Formats: sequence, structure tokens, C-alpha cells
Amino acid sequence: MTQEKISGSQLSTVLFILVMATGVLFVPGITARMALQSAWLVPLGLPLLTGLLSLWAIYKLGRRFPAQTVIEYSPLILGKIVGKGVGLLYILFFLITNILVIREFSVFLTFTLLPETPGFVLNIAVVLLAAYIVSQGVEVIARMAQFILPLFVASLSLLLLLSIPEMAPRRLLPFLEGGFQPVVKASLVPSAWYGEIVVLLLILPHLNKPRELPRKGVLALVWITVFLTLDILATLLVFGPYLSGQLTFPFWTLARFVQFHKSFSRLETLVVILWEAGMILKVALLYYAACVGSLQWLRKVSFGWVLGILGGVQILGACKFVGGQIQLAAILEHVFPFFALPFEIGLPLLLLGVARLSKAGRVRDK
Amino acid sequence: MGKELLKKALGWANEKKGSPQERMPQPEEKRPLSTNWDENQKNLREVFSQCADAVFQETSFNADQPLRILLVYLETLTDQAQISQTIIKSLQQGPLELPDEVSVSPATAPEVLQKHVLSACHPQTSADLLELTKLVLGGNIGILIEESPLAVVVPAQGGQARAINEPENEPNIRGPRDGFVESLKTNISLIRRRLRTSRLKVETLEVGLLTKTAVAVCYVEGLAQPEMVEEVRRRLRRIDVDAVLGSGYIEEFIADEAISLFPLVLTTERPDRVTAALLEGRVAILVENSPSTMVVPCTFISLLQASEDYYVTAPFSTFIRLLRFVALNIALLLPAVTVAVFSFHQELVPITLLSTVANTRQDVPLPIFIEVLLMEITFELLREAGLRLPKTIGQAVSTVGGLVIGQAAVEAGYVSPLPVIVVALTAIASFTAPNYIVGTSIRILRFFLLILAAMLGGVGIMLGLMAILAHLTALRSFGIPYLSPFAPLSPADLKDTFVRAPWWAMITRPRLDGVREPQRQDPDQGPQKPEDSGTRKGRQRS
Repeated sequence: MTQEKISGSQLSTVLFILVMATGVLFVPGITARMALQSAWLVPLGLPLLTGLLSLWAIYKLGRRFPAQTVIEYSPLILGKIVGKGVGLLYILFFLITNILVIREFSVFLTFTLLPETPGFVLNIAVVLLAAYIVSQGVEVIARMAQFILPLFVASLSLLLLLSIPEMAPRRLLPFLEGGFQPVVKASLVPSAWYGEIVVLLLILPHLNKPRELPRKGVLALVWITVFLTLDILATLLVFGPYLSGQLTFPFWTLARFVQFHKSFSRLETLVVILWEAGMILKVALLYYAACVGSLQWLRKVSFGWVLGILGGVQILGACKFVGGQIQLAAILEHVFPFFALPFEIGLPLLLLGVARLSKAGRVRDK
Repeated sequence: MGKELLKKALGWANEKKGSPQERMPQPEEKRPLSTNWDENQKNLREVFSQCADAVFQETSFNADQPLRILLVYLETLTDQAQISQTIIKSLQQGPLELPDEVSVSPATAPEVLQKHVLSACHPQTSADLLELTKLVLGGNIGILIEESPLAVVVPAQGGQARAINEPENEPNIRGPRDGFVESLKTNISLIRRRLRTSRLKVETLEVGLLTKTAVAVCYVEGLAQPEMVEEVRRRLRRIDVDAVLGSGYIEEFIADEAISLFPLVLTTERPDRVTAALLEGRVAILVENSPSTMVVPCTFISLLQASEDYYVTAPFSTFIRLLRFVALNIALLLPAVTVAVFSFHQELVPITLLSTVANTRQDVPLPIFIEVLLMEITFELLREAGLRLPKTIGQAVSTVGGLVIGQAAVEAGYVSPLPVIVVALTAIASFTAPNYIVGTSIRILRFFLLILAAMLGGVGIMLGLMAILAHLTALRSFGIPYLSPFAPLSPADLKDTFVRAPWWAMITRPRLDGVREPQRQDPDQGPQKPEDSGTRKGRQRS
């Protein structure tokens, strides 16, 4: 599978969809709850910084260990036992994150379109489909992202445009009420979302020109920030900070709300179906990361087994260990950042630091 | 992986039956002709025993010393007039003028025949009984000469062949009307007439132990990638079957995937289409006795293009292509979307339409999914029935289908009019696909999506579409991604996809992984309005 190559622009597309697929739905509500009318400032600060820092660490690690994944080079940096442990932790991290994403998918769809469908049906359906996509390799994921991106961006832009008549700038005032503290506090959750670009640790070897990573990665992060900010801004301007904070999916409610000439209304069904495509891809990407990680960690196991077992684990996890919408929201708000950020930024920086000190890996001559 | 499991499962279904040697006793490689006249005759008659169409005709070669001659040929494959008028006549006449130093004896007879008597017929010689048999089976005449270990072989292919006419499956309004026929030679000539360059290469090989079907690989040297041509050769040589009765047999052997819902080679009966593909650096595979010719690599978009597109004006062609794409989506999605909308997302339907539909559905006993499914199945039945029946009865089928089933079922209130309209629209849309095979893929996937829509509504449709997208992006045809030039994106090649750029703008060939002569024509050939002063000057000069 290592000869599969994806291009730099495919990579930015993948990263954009990875973060935005669920971020656009969950982030506005959570940030509005914590930072009120200043929520739109949140993505511009710490989350972007987290993303950039994580990207930088991953890039530097990638330069030191070209064509290797974190599972392969962490034993080289930290020694066999600790390194293997770190590898295992990363696999678990992707697995658990993906279980949450699968549950986000099914909760969101149950909430919006299929109120009577039991969640497990959707969990199973998305895992099966993702398993099929994963079995086709990372190239397929990247190309599918290229197809989905225009639809995704078009639906976002359309909603943003249509919500303009409903906006009222006074809802953003008073500006920065309560200082920066609420903004910083609210940064934690979006940071965890930005940090999901850490899947790069496993797909970087597939990039055909690794030197493009900083440019394409930053490009993706900038576009993510632009759309996430606009997304939060639109919900705040239309619903105001309090209502935005109370709605589970404010942006979806926005889609229900906006209309164009009466005849063109109730867009949420179409929009949800387009977003569903992004979420499927996100599940597939995280699933892929977990699979490739396990494959390299265990060696000598067939891809089919790993795919099947991890799929079963994810279905089971999503059905059994994550409850309904309220519990999921609580997990995302209060647990997920503390669980994810160490993997997304702590460990990459740690690995890089140790590698620099111990001069592990290829040291470039300048 | 899934693919491997599938292969394994298929492998269990037909356990390996052993190598070809075990399967069919192969005759020894060589059986030289002897100098013994009787033995040769006997052997040859033995080979063709019980073959009613094998003719053994005895005559003599009229030279200073008459030699006995045996003609062997299959009357079903040869041109009788040529045999009686040319070959037998000149044999009986004998050599007209022989140089003095040449005398006719059993040893020299083959050479004399070849060089002096039958030279107009391009004869060749054969010293091997099996080779001779093979040549005779290829429509040649074997000439066995008394006491000579060499037989002379004269080509005299004949027999009935279908005349060249317009391909029924791919009709055309402008542009050429000729279509491929069953004869390989004719088919190659149809391509050669369009490509009068020695760079058009035609390589033939034989496939099928019993049928010995000739398969020709055509490409334009310098345009087709050598690796691609080599890959085609390799895949063709790998085929080991008893029989090849049509290009479909070969297609399934040379495809990149064990099972794919979409055609991985492009089949067409139009020589102009094949020529255009050759000029893009593709490789054509022609199969004897099959008018449908294969072109590889095949991309998804090429299945939505017709050769007609290049003969009509560019804007119109673009319009037609967009229409075709819309039709493709209707054919794939309309039944599924109808079911999803009316059973899950009624809010999408304007209230007046919803109440109209609800009124017509008041007394209908079945849920809309079952209705649509039944009507779809009915339509598929009618279509298949119409296809296999003689044309005269086919009309009766359409009457029964349209009138009895459609109208009567609605009037009786068993089905509501909505599914009938949906199925009719779907059917019309599916007929716009210029390639029959891709139409069949869409037919299968339509049912797949319909079932998903019934289970999960729009969510189900999207799940299905993502699965189809994953399948399509994963497919490759001879190494070329099936969805190119969209994914991976190559912007320069988008000029000939949903839009069709005018010919003067088709400057580069498709990128098909780095074609060797990328430029097709001079870039600055766009039609220009004559400048006022320029024309006046021109007039003055003339």
C-alpha cells in the first residue's frame, strides 16, 4: 500500500473535510455556550495556533523519518518498549476518536432526518461503507474528497449567503464582553477539532511531494479557519449568543430557517445529505489511520483481519459506550479536548523534542 | 480484502481443473511431410476425416513430366471461383515459360509452382503436416505434390460475409455511416482508410485453443505508450481458453478488476470512434468474428460520449453532453429520490403537489416503495421481452406494456400515477446513454439505490452514492484511473468531458499518464474575423 501517492492539493482537501465535516455542526453551539457573542473570535486564536504547531511538529518529524509513520518511528525515538506503547496509544486514539465521530454521525442524522431509525443501524451502515472505502486505499479517499469538496463548500456558501438577510450586527455586541478569558476557555474544543489533522502522522508517507506539506497544510488550516469563523459568525448573527448556545446544531437550524423567495426553503434535508458525505469520508479516514497503524504495529497480520476486527470494535463502541445526544455533547465538550489534545499536540512535540536531543532519524545538512 | 475474498469464493466455485495440457491433449509440435505420396495423402485425409466440407481434388501438373497433385481445401472457407478459374487452370496449363536451367521434378516442383506458375496468388510453402492443416483451416488451399516433402499453400479466402452497414446500436446523423463487420480484415481496413500512416501498427495473435480466433492489437506508434501496448499484449497472451466467440470473452479476461459493475473497456462498432481513440494514444483490440471492437484504457466519461459529439458544433455538443449527464442522474436516482422524498422527507415537496399526490394515492394499497419497485421490475421485463423478440412481435409487447399494464393498473387503482410517471421518465433518461453497457450498470445500481432509499431515505441514497463513488474512484482501466480527468484532476483535459471544446481549441491530447506527443495541432488556429483594413488590402492586391 505504500506506493499509493496523493498530491498536495488532495491532502489539503482531505484535511479540510476532516475538520469541517463535523466541526461545522458541533463547534458553533459549544463555543457560543462558553464565549457568548465573542465565539466567532475563537477559531482565529488558539485553535489555529494548535493546528499550525501540530502541523509543524508533524512536518519536522516527517522530514526526520521520511516514508515512515509514527508507529514505525516512535520506537526509534523513545526506545522499543515506550515507543511501541506510544504507537498503541495512537491506534487507540484514532479508534476512540472515530467511535465518537461515528456516534456524531448517527446522532446528527437521527436528530435531523431519521428520528425513528435506531442509532445502531446508522452506526453499522457507516462503518461498513467506511470499511469498503478503506479497503480501496488512501488514494481513493483522497480522490473522493476532491469530488465532495465542491458540494460541501457550495452548500456552506449557499447557507451563509442566504442567511445574510436575517443577520443583525447588534447581536455581536458588546464586543469582547468579559475580556479574553471566555474566548480562551472556549478555544479548547475547537483546538481538539483542529488537532485532528494529526492523522497526517499516518498518511504523510503517501504524500508525493512531502516538501509541499507546510504550504498545503497551512492552506487547509486557513480555509478551515475562514469557514469555521463564518459559520460561527452566521449563527451568532442570526440567533444571537444565547439561542446559539442552546441549540444542538445551530448551523443546521440555520439551514432550516433560511429561505429564498418562499419557494426555495427547507434546505436542511439537502444540506444534511451533502454533509453526510463529508462525515462518511471522515470516518473512513480515521478508520484508515487506525487500520494502517495496527497493521504496522502488529506486522504479519492480514489487512482483512485488521479491517474486520477494528470495524467490529468501532460498531460495538459506538453502539454501547456512547449514549445519546446529550451524553455525546457532554463528552465532546468536557472530555474530548483533554483526551485528544495530548495526542494531537503534546506527543508530536514530545517526539520531535526527544528526536532532536537524541539526534534520532535523518539529520538534514543545510 | 474484499476483492481477494471474492476471488477466493469464485475460485472455490470452479476449482482449478489443471493445466491446459491435462485439459486437452496437445498434438506434438511437428509432423514433417514425407516424400511418400501415398502416406502424405493418407495422413491428410485422416486429419480431415468426417469433415464434410473438406474437399480433396486430384489433378495433375502439366509439365514435361506430369506430376500428380492433390488440392486440399475447405469449400466453406474458400473462394470457389478462384480455385477453379485460376489455380486449377494454371496447374493444368503448366508453366508457360520456364528458364532453361529449370526442369520440373518432384524436388523442384514446389519452387516452380511458387515462382512461375502460381506467383500471382502469393503462394507459400509448408513442410509440416500440422502447419499445413492449420493453413487449410485458415481458408488456404493446400497443394500436395507427388513425391515432394514440400506442400504449396495458396491463399483463397472466401465465403459469405456481411456487408458494411451502419451500426444499429450507435446511429449517427452527421459523420460516417460505416460500421465494423465480422471480418477482421475488413475492420482493419476501415481503420487504415482513416489513418493512412505507417505509424498505425497492427499486431495479430491467436486466442482460443479450438477457435484459433485472430485478435488484432492496433495502436499509433509514438502516441500510445509502449508500456501500455506491452501490457495489452501481455494480458492477451495470458488468456488460455478453448473458445473466443466474441470480444466479450476477451474483455472479461483483460479487465483490471475481477468483478466490476462498470465496463472497463470501451466497446464500439464505429471505426471513426476507434480511430479517434487511437489518435488519443489508446489501444484498440479487434477480434475476428466480432463487430464490437474494444478500446483501452477506458474512462468513465468516454462512456458518456458519442462520436456524433465531434461532428456537430461545439456548443450544441456541450449542451447534449450536459443533457446526457442530467439524464444519467435521472436514470440512476429518480426512483430512489421519489421513494425517499415521499416516504421520508415530505417537507421537500411543495404543499400543493403533496396534496395532489396524496389524493391519487388515497385508495392505493401498497406503499410507494413497493409500487415503484413493481413498476421498475415490470418495465425491466418489458424491455427485456422487447429486446429478444422478433421485431413484429415486439410491437405487441409495447402495446401490452403501455396500455394494459400502465393505463389499466392506474385506472383500476392498483398503482398510483406517480410511480408510472417516474418509471417512464427514468426509462427515457436511461435510453440517452450512448453506451449500452453503461446503461446496464445504471440499471443495476438503480435498484441498489432504490432499496437503500426505502430503508434510510436520503441518508441511504447518500450512503449508496458514496459506495458507488468509492468503487468508481478505485477502478482503473489498464492503469489509468477510471474517473480521470476528474479525480485525479487534470484541468487541461476537462476541455473534452462535459463540455466539448471546438476543434481548433483541442490543442493537446488527453494526458493519459504522459502521452509522448502531447500537442495535437498548432495552437493559433482559431477562426478570426478578417480585419477591415486587411480584407480591403487583400482585395486590392487581388
